[in-house]
Amino acid sequence: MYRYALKKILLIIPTLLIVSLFAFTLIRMIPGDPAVMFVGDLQDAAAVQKVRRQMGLDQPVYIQYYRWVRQVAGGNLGVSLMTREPVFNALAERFSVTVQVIAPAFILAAIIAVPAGMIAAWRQNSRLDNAIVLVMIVCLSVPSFWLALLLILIFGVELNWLPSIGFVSVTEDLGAAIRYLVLPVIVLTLIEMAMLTRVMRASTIEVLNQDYITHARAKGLSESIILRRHVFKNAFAPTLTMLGLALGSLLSGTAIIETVFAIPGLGLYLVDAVYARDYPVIQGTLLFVVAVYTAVNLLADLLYPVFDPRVKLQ
Amino acid sequence: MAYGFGSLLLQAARSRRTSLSCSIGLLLVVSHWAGAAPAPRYGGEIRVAINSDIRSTNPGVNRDGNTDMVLYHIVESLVAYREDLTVAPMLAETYAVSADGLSYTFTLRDNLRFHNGEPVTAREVKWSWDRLLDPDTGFRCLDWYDGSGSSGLKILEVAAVDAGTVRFRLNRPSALFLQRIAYIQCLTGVMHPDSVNADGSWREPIGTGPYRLQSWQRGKQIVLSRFAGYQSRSEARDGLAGAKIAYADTLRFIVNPDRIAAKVGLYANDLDLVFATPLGSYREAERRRQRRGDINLFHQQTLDWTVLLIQSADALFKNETMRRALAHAIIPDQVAAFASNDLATGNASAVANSSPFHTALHDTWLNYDPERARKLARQAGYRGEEIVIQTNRKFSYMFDNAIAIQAMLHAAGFNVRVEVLDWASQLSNFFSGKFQLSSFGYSARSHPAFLYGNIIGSKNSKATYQWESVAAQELLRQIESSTDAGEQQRIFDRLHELAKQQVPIIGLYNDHIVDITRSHVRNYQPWVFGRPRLWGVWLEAGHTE
Repeated sequence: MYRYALKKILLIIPTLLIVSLFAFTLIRMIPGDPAVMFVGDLQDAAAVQKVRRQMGLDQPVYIQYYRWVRQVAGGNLGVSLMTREPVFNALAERFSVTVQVIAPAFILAAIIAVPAGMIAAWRQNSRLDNAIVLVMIVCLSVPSFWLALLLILIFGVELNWLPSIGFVSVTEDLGAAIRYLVLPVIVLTLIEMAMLTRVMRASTIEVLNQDYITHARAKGLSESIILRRHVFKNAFAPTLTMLGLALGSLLSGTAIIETVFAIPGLGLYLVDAVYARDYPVIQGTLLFVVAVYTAVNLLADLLYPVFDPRVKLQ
Repeated sequence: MAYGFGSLLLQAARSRRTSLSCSIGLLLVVSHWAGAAPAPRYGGEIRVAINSDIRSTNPGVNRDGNTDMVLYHIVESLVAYREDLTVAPMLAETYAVSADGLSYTFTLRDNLRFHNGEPVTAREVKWSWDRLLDPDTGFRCLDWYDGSGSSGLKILEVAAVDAGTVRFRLNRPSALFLQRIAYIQCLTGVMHPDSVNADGSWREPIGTGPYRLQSWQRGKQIVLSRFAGYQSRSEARDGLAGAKIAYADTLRFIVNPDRIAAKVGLYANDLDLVFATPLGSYREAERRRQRRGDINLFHQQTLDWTVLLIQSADALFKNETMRRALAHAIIPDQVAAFASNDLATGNASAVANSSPFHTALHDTWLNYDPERARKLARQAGYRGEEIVIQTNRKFSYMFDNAIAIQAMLHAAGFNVRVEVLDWASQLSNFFSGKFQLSSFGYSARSHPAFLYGNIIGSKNSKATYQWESVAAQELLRQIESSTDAGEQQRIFDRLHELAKQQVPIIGLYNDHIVDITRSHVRNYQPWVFGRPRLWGVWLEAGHTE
């Protein structure tokens, strides 16, 4: 297992190198000039040329790439072209915000989805199954921004129970933080829960059709014991992989929720950087997200044999 | 000679003020007048949504519109704009211009203090200006003052004559020097030297404004607190000039990228002001105001000018006849009505509707005549080739303008396609001249000369110039050396007449903004620059946050 883990960790290095190359070249292929965005409404072409020089954008692309990789290898992700803020510091700050939103959403989604998926599969084609599937389809189909605005209208505007926009960190004021987090966490939970429930339901149905489940029933084991002891572990393994993927996508995919609720997180940071063509921020954020994504999936891989002993890590 | 060269312009502009105030009064339609509250009240916090974070706290150096807006609550210049776009003394008590127009002497007001409690003297004014004029500072408008700009104007020296007097020496007279000092996009705030670190790097603005910087949480909010030692001017609040009384204890600018979500946040009483909301939301907000009365609604014509850019280097549009054909096919009034929910009216002139230089002549333009448009297009050799209008969705009015123009041009027999780009791409194309037609907008320019300065010039020097006419370039040069407002008026009139002949650009309208406040926000007034000023604004007693 240790060798497997080490091999996977070493594989992260070429992955990041490839991502760095893609991130670096692709963003430069998109039309738009950071110097133009920096100068903005003054619309001064001479100033644009001057800013391009100051930003080092007048250098050949391969030199820019070499400088950036060398910088990153030294642990420095560069500074934002727009704000002159170190990218690493900004990422750390934005990541801490995003984690506060996605962690509870992720945990809640898993807590709801796993039993819901199992129960739906166990009662396949019953009214309960249909109800659960219907709810999940609705949650999957509703656009997140629409759901977010709807919840703001109901709980923020009409009932005035919860703040509609903004963010307070748990380190500043736990009570206020929870109030601000309720609505975005509900939206993210509903969306992630729907996908996970469907995966859990499908894998549970597959397990329930196995011979060893029929055998367990023939032995006279209660349904509760069968579900907990035999079904859960085998059905959960594919969901675990899905959980890893879901967490990764949540990291970079919360931009819409962060925009609607005015949460200064990682997704919004990346989207703003793309609009402003802030190359160091885009490159740094993509590298960071890929690194976290890879680490989370490595963890999921390492945990897989715990739930499915048939899988050996080699 | 006190009030010599500059005062001539000032007095001439002031003589127009009565009629201008009337016209602004007509333009400013406040659906529910919130300014009649009799008793101003100190205290509380005004929460304002801004659609993006500020770039920095370094005025005029790393900036955008939101940065300027936050910072003009913190720093002040020697002079500032009045509501009617004339220039008034701000930190200066008086100013005098030498007879030859080469020397400007500013006498500072007594008892002025910086936010750190230090007195404001000529030494700090000189330090602030020397810093701005140092190329290492990165002042965005340095070319206005170092001789490298199109005006050739250069500040030769900023001298502290005595503790309360500062003198600027110029290389040539300039009718626009005071206008430049007051220019909002290039804030020339006077700051204390402790605003920078020992190595000259930026620390924080220690200014003289009615509010001081309390905190900046990047991506989240900027909080300003009232400066207790502020010495307000005695005149009434007037643009960025006059009295600045900070009634609210704090101003909290909350980053909220989505204007609709911000509007909902205002409805939920989580915000007190959302400015420049999408015009499409005006009617819905007005219905809410009538039904519930918990908000106030303002709309205001701004100096922003929306246009259709025409690439005169393009094979089709280098022909003046073809450009005239386009103009005959487009009705600026209808584009304005379509894109602004009937709030805006057309303005084909670069002289803004709210400018004191906008006369009846500037309301004239090529008449709508689709048959004539067809005829001129045929004369110019147009055979139905596809014409592309670039636009974007970030600024919805640019997209709406493009759609309206496409329909009008179709009706006159042109084959037009709208190409939607993201803003960064469209702006880059503007800078490199890679477009045929472009639905575009120029942000607020306080004086028509500054807007014409962006438009008139040779494409060989800057691809962003739209009008290469030698005659227009000569007229632009004359503005800088003009001696009174009457002469400037004649030049602007001639420029507009020339534009009607050559159609270098098709002006559409001056953009409108819709600002929404909670009803407990009193004495709020939008103005032509389209961004809020929060001194003089107070919160009604008894409201809950």
